Amino acid sequence: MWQYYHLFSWATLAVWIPAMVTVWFYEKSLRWRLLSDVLMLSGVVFLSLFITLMWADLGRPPLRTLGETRLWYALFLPLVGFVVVKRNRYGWFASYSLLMGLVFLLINLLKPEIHDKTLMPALQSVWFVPHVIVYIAGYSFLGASALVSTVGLYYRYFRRKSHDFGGMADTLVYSGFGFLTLGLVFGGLWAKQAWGHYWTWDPKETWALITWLAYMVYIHLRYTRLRNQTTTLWILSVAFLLLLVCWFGINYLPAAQNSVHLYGG
Amino acid sequence: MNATRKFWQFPWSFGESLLISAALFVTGWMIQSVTGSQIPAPSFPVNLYMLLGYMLLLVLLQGFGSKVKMIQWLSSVPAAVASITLFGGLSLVMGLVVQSPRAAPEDIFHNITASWIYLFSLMFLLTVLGMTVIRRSRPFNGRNLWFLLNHLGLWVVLAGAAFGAGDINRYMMETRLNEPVWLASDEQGRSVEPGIAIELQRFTVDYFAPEILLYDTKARKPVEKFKPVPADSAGISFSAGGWQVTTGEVHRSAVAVNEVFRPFNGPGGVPAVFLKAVKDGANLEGWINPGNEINPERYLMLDDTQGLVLSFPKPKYYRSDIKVYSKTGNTYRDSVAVNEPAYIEGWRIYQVSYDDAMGAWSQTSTVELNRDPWLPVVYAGLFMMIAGALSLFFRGIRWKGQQS
Repeated sequence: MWQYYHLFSWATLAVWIPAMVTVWFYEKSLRWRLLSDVLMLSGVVFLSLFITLMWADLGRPPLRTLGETRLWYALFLPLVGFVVVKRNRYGWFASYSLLMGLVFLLINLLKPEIHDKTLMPALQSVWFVPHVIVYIAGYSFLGASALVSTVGLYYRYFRRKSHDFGGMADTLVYSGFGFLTLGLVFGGLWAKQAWGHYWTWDPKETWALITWLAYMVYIHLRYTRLRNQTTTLWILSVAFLLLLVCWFGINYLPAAQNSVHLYGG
Repeated sequence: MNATRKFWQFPWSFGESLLISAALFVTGWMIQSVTGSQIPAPSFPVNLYMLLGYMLLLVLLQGFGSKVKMIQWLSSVPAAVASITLFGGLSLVMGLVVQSPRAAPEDIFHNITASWIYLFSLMFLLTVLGMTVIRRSRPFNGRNLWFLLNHLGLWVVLAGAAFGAGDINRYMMETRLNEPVWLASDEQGRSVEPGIAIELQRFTVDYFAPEILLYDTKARKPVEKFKPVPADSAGISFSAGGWQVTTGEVHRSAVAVNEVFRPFNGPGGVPAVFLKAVKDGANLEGWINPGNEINPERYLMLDDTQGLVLSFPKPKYYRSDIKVYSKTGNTYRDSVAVNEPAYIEGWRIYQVSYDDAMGAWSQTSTVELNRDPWLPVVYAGLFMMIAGALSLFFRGIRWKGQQS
C-alpha cells in the first residue's frame, strides 16, 4: 500500500498548501470560508481514505510504526486546526496546524521506512486501537497548545504586546490532557491484560507519567489565575518538550533501551 | 496574593511549598543513607489498617483543623503543584536512570520506588490530594462531582496501588507437557508453592512467514534500504542488488537431505526457500535457510559482500491449553495466550514464553501466576478517572464563551 502513498499525499498537499493561504482570509467573507473548508476537508478525506485502504491491506490497524502514526498526526492536526478556525476564526492557527500536518506527510514522503505486516502477539489486543488513537489525539491537541505557547512567547519577548493566549491554550490543554488521561488509563488496563500489571515503570510509561504531570502542573497554575503568563507559557513549552521525549526521544535514551514499547520503525 | 506577605508567613505560596518538597527529598535521602534501609511493603491485614488509619487521620484533620492555616495549605494549589513537582521529579530520575529492583539501598537513584524519598513524595501527594478531595466534597453538586471524579479517582488509584503493593504475588511457573507442576518461583527467584498446580496439555504456535533479508557481510547487518520480503509462497519476484530474484519451493519446516530440503513436520525443522536470481544473463540459485543445530545456515551470495538470507519466522500467536488442579481437589481446563489470561481460584494466569528452539514442539510453556486482591480498588479509581477525563473535554468547549 505504501507504493500508492505518494498519490494520496500529493493530492493532500495540493489542497492543504492553498488552504494554508486561504484560512488567513477566513473572516473576510463566506466565499473564503467555504473555499477553506472545502480545501481542508478534502485533504482530510484523501488521508482518511488512504488510512482505511492501508488498514484493509495490512490486515491490522496502521498504528505500529512511527511512519504509520505520522499519518494519523497528519490527519488529526489539521482537524484540530479546522475546529479552532470554525470556533474562533483564528486563521493563523489553522494555517500552522495545516503546516504541521504537511510536515508529517513530507517526512513520510522523503523518508520511506521499512514496513511489514507483522504484529507481535503483545499488540494483538482490543486495547491497541483506542490506546494509540487517544494518544495521537492528545498529542495533536498538545502540539497545537505548544504552537500557541510559542506564538505567545514570541509576542511577549519580541512584540511586547499583551495579547492573551491563555484561554486558547487552556482549551487545547484541557482536551489534550483529557486524552492523555484516557491514554494512560487504557494503557494500564491493557498492561494488566498483557503483562500482568497495570503499572511496571516501563520507560515509556514513566515518560508518559512525566508528561501527564507536567501538564497537570500547568493546569493547576492556570487555575490560580497566575498573573505571570510568561511562566505558564514557558511551562507549556517545557511540557511539550517532555512529550516529545516520551513520543520518540525515548528511542535514543540509554535508560530506555529495555522498554517493551520499542517496536522499531 | 498579598504583596506585604513575608516568606513563611501564611498563606504559604509556591516558594514555601517547593521548599517543603525539597525538604522532604533531603529527609528521605538522609534516612536512607543513615539507616541503609528500603521502604517496607506491609501486607494484609497491616496495610489495610494503615490505610484506614490514614484515611481517618485525613478526615479528622480536615474536619477539626479547617481553621488551621497549615492544614488549609495542605489542600491549596501551591501544595498541589509542589507535590506534583516532587513526584514528577522522581519520575524524571526514573526516566533517565536505568532502574533495577535489585539495586542496593545506598544506590537510591537506581531503585527510586523502594526509596524513602519516593515514600515521602507519594505520601505528600496523597495527603494533598486527599485533603483537597475532602474539602471539595461539600457542597456536593454537579461541578464538584467532576472535580471529585478526577481527584478522588487518582487518589483511589494511588492509594490502592501503594497500600496494596505488599499483597501482590507474581510467580513464574514452567509448565510441562502432561505433568502437573506445583512449584513456581517468585521475583527474587526463590521457590514457592502457589497452592495450585498446572499441567500443560497442548501447546500451539502460529508463525508469520519467514522473511528474506539482504545481508551485508562487511557491515555485518541487514541492508536497511532493502524491504524484507515475506516468503509465503513460490513465484514471488523481487529485485535485490541489481538481481531479479524469484522464489521456488517454499517450506515452513524442513530438513536438508543431500543438500535438498524436504518437508519435515517435527522438532529440528527450519523454514527453507529455494531462490533463483538472474542478472545480465548470469544465473544464481540455491537454498536459503536460518541455521539451527541440525541445519547449518544457507545463504545466496549475490556479490562479494551482499547475500540473501532467511530470518526465523516471528511468532504470530501462541497458546497453552492447561489443566489447573487446586489443593481442594477441583480441576479446571482453560487456555492462556498473550493478552488472554485465565482467571482461576483468585489467580490470573498469563502466557509468558515457551521453548522457542523447539517451536511448535515445545515441551514447556512458562506462565505467570498473578494475584492482586487490591485490583478492584485500583480499577474503581481508573474508571472514575475515565469519567473525569470526559469532563475535561466539556471544559474545553466552554472556551468560546470565555473569549467574548
